[in-house]
Amino acid sequence: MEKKVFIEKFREALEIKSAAMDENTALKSIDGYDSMSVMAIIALVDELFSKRLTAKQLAEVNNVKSLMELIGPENFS
Amino acid sequence: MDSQFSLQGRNILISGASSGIGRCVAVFCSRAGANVLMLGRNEKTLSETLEMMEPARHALAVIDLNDFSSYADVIAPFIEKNGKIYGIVHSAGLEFSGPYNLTKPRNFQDIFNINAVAGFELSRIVASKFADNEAGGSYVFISSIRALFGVEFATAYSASKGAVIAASRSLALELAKKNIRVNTISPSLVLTPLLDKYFESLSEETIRSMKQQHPLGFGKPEDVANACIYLLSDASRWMTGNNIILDGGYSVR
Repeated sequence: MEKKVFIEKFREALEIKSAAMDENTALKSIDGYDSMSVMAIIALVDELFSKRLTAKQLAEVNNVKSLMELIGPENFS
Repeated sequence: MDSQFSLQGRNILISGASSGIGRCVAVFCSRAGANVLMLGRNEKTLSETLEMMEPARHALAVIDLNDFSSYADVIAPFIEKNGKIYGIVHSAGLEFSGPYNLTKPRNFQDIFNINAVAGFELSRIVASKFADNEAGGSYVFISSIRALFGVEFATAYSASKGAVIAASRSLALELAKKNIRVNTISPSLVLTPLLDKYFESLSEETIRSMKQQHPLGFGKPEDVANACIYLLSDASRWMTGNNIILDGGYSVR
């Protein structure tokens, strides 16, 4: 999956309205980011990559780039 | 055990007996004297359940509950050996947590197939082909507190469990003339492998907060299994179309 496609799906899943977002965007800087957002990311990654992340793993993730690394760089182009 | 709660010699079909609530129900049914037909996806874990049970004429069958057309063939050998089926406990379940904007028709269909339709199809086949018309019967569907109280990210799961309660009330009316009772149990959070999987998506703080919402703490499979024994036994002979809430006090506030 192209990185920009993933970022767009990420924005849709978390219903992010702000314009500026790239792979360096810190997750905790996203307006309204909370425990529900964590569950939404887990559901999104499961849906797109059939990979089940845990809340503990996501607690270590700083930004979208490190999320993609956690999912597996082989999944992105 | 008090004779009113005995299942001596009764044949009980349990779906989802590989683990969690279904496994515990199978063990408790065997202790109450029943012969149990266990359905599940995994032969190894079904065999582990069998090893925990009091010996009787039990059987296990590996089945994909999405394959509705296979049900009659899977049940038939048990009937030939043990006779008609008295009770059903539909405990097989899928969990799906996701925001509504990621909850698609396929998610609803997958979860409805296992949580709701599979139980109704098992009931249809047993009631029409494999039920003892003289003895009657008792069918129990495991619903959920989520059918009654909303929570974020559980739209599909809640819908499937709500369907179980709604359909059971109508089914209870139809099957009453065969002296078959139909009831549901709505547990809140019960410590099972399914719950462990759900907890993995939550922070420790969220889990702590959920525990605080349950004055008696989270449930154990035994809590639900005891209610199943009651509903399967003659102790509940005047009860049909009802739903038992088991929630450690979650809903009393």
